[in-house]
Amino acid sequence: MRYLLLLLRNSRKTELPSAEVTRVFLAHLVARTAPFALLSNTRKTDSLRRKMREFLAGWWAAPALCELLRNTRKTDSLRRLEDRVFLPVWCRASAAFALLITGAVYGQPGVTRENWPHYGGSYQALRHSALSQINTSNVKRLTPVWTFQTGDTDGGLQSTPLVIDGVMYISTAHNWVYAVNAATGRQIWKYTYPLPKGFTIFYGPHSRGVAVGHGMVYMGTLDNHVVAIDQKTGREVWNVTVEDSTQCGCNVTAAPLLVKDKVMVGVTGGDSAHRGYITAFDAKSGRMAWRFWTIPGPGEKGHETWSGDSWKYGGGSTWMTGSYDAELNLTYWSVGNPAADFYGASRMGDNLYTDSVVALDVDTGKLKWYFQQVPHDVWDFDTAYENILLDLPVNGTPRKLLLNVNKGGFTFVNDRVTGEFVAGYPIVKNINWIKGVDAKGKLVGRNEPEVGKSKTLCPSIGGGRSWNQAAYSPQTNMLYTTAMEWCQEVTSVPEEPKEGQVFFGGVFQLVHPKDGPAYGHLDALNPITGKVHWSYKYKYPLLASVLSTDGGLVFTGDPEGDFFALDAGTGQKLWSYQTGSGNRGSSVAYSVNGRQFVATPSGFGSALMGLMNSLWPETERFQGGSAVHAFALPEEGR
Amino acid sequence: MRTARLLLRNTGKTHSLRRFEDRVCLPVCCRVSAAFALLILPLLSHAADAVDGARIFRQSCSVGYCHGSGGTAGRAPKLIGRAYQQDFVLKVTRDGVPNTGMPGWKDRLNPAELDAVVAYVVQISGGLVQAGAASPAATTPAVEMSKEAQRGKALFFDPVRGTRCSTCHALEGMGTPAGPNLAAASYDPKAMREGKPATVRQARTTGGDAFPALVVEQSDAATKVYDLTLPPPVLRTFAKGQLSFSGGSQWRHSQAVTKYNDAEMGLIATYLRWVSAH
Repeated sequence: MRYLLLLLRNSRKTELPSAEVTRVFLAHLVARTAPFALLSNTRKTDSLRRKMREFLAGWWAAPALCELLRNTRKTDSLRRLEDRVFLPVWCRASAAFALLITGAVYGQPGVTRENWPHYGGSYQALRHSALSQINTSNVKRLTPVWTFQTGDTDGGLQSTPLVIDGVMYISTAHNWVYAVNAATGRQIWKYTYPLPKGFTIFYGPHSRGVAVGHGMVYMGTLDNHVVAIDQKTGREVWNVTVEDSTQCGCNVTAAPLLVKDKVMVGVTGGDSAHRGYITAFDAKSGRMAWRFWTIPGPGEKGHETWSGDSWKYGGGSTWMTGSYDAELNLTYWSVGNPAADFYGASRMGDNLYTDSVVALDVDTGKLKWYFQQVPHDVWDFDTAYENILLDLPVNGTPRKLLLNVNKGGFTFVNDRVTGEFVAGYPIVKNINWIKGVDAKGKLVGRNEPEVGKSKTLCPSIGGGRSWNQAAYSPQTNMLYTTAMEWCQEVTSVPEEPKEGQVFFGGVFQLVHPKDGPAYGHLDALNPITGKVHWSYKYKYPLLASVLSTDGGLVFTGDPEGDFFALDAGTGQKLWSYQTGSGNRGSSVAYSVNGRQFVATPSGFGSALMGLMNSLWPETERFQGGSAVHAFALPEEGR
Repeated sequence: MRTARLLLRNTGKTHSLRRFEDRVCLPVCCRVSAAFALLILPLLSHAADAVDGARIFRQSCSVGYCHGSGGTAGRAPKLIGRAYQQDFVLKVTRDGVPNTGMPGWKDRLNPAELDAVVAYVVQISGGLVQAGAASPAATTPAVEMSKEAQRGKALFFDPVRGTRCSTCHALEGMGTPAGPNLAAASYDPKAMREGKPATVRQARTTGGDAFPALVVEQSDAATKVYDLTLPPPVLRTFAKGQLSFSGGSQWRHSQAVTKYNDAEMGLIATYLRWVSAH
């Protein structure tokens, strides 16, 4: 009852007939408590929780109640009551109610709890954990518990570890996979992918993660295969060639997306003469289920947006992992830049579906809708990054949204049911390749590279942000993303395609912005308006993914090797730990037997490391590495 | 619904939100001033005899995320200021560096081009340039191929067809070596299409999944087969006893070559004969 009163008191109902709210709330409460008795005393796995959440969401779906819960600002005292008094006392269905809290109060599915089951945390790619054992009040006592050295240091560690039922799965730059006890850091098994001897490729060596399900661990490889590994033993189960990498010059560095019985992988090759695609394989047998070409072939809609034969080698890679909406049965992938990157005269037209978000039916791979952010890209500004699925009100109407930060430093928000443009805003200050977008999301004021003439364009090819992912916290309703202020002198150069070989069409040299030295920042911003609430500035680019938690914390790491926690509300740095090598991967939160951990990959080495040298020569001496560090509160302090 | 909207409107920005706005962190701005000291790298002037090398370098080495403009570093190492030995640069350029992004260029550049780009790299690295380092032996002499064979080769590896010959056969170092080595096969286009290889067997898993299989390896530890149900072939590994075979398969090569017409098969046969002869 105290909980109810606090909820009501905190909802700022100045113009509201409170008796009405109370009546509605109580009516629902009485009518809908019975199921909790059934759910108590059952050990909850994540999948059970998911089912329960779906059930409860329907059960509690009275609009007034949901809106009330969703919009209630949680004070500390309210949280304490939820955690310590209310949950145990009422029906002991703690997990069930936690679900209610996340599902109904936040109104945002897609937060993680004890597991980190997908690349983006959840299918919605929020990179937000509902765990709050580690929080703003105790994060100062966060302590390293274990470090796991992978030994595969060339290329650094760009992975997102997955954690499922106390086991962590880590993939390394050269496609080694480890299963590790997530509480102790002890190795359970190791799989070494048989990379061909003497193998070289333009893209890589990197592996940004695996997918786990059906008793298997799935990984895309440096030579463009997909392998399935037995989750218990680490033995290979199947291995299929996506396309011969010696011919296509392409490969898979992103984590696969596993949905139902399909393992979906993208492909690199956007800076080479190659035609991109997304491929789905049957999870059990490895047989190809469907392929969506990101460049339509002859006779297909959109083919007319490519002049001549340019479609054959037009890039359109899919080098980061997609998202998934179970209700709509759609998977959302972002497509990279057209090739040649900086020279567009030989590929006149909009060049669909490069620089687009595509929504595909998971079962068939058929296109449901697309939204092209950058028609006829001549800047190498991929729309390749993660698609964050948000359920938020826009102008008072609840919307199913998709948020995508692109390499050009611009964020697009679309309706994920229809693809309709909802909002757009820059995340960087130094941006001059466009002036902005109009009310329909069309680019305004294009500033293109020219043949035989050097131009200063911002941001640089390194991106207004790199591929490392943002986080969205339902607790604060803020998007936490890194951003970079840097520019380049670029000249367009005509170039002929040679299959599988670099097809770039330009030269560039990084430069500092006009008004001061280049730098990076991590911002907390409103996901719809882009309004910045706080900004954490840093002298180099920030190149690690962001993690947010219900502990009111935001975690990320920097190229100098510091992994740190900021107050999600203020941006104040609360804790930091030197990991020994630059952070370029994605940290995760999970818990084992009730103890919360935060773990981060550490190990520098990437395409951007080279680019950084030209602006900050000292970064050339930054040491590589490849390790995962796990942190928790001291046992006695919990 | 009306009450809910009212609630929503009245619960937006409360105390905590205002706090964020008050504490926007200005103090960290001063950190970036340290970076002022580091200014733009000196531009390189290229000697006249390395102009050609500079062009090749620009198109092949500085592109994308590799060695950067003028060797100032991209993803690949910085080349300026290294004082490289010419022999070393030649070896690396010619053969590449295994397990890295550095490919060998001996099949992509002719000896004169190799010479020019190697000289350019040595020069920008601050090393000593000698003339004519790329020996003729450094490159594979090209063997003339007929127009038909060239077209056959293009069809064999045709990237526009999702499934092509190289989806299942490897030749000249490319493709997936699931099917037989075609450098030693018969080249009658009709036989190529209708072939029913005796090596393809019908396999059945303990779970009841039946498929045409090419056995790759059978040992006490495991059985490895290519599953030919659909292209691309899937290399599947089964523990002992998990897979059984039941004689010949109904699989026909014609199922796999639907994307090629008879004329195209003829050209491909011409290419295969050329490979066999060379």
